[in-house]
Amino acid sequence: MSDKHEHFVIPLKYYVFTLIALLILTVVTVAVAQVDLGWLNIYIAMFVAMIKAAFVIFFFMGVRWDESFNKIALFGCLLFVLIFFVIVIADVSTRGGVYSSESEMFDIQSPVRPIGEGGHHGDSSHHGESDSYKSSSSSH
Amino acid sequence: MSQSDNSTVAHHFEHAHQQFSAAKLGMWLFIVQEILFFSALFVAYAVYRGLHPEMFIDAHHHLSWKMGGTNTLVLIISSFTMAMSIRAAQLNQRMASFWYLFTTLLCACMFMVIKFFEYAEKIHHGYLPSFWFSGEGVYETMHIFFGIYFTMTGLHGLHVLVGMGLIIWLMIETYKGRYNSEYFTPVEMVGLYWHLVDLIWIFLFPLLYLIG
Repeated sequence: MSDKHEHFVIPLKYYVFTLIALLILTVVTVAVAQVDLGWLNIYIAMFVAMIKAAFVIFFFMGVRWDESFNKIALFGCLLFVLIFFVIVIADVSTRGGVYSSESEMFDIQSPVRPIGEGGHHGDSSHHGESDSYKSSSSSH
Repeated sequence: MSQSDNSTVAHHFEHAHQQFSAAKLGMWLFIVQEILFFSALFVAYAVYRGLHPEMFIDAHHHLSWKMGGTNTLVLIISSFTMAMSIRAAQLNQRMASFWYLFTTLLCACMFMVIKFFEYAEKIHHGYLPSFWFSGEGVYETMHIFFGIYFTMTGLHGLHVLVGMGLIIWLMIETYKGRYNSEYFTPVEMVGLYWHLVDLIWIFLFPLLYLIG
């Protein structure tokens, strides 16, 4: 009957504690949302949600006792989700700055020209541009 | 016992444990894919909220946080009973496993009933997404919020429905005595799926119902 690969049975206390923690954290997140803390509200709500998610992942899903390869799959995925969020939000939240500083772009040494103006585009034109940039900077 | 072992281990696996590990890795890859696919929707939410912050805060007052909160509690309890059902299967407690699954199913039904009343109210106010939007509010961009609301909760609801089907199947199989401490792979896998459904709701609830 007993096999050398006997499945590990997660002790009951972990499930019960996780349930209680999740219920308490749900009440906390609802209670905090009733108070207006301005921009802080969303950060608190997300922080609490992440703690809840960690409880579900580590104990209900049993990742705490799971094989390393499954952990790599999960945490690798979460890393990419993080990259996805950081890059998209960094883009969207800083676009206003690009538009407003357009008028301040006056001190650029080699401004980008439309292709039609220079005639050719390719290796030779790149050389020409970098040369003119070099000469203008060395003439100072 | 080796007799039942042989009947459940496919010929390309060395032993039951290897088969179980392979199945679990496959399930994790599926779950990881689900997280990535939902993350695109969360990013869409973040982008549109960044573009229309006041509209989002105004629009979310049309959602009832009491209904959303009740659904959160229901899903958390169902996640717990699902975990307990796996545990019971691991300990050869067949009927306990069955009744835990039954409770999970009951919670899922409750979730869907509450969701139904929520949707009915939104549809009554004309908040359906895209062309069907006919609601009126302070902001004329309000259809964006409800587009995101219906897409995210709709896809989540679809996952709950699929989960309910899987749980019914598990209940039938458990009742027939298919699962025991040696073989409970389907219970474990559906359990992982069900926790994922809970996980997504944990983020949906504060983002849609509690902002501002």
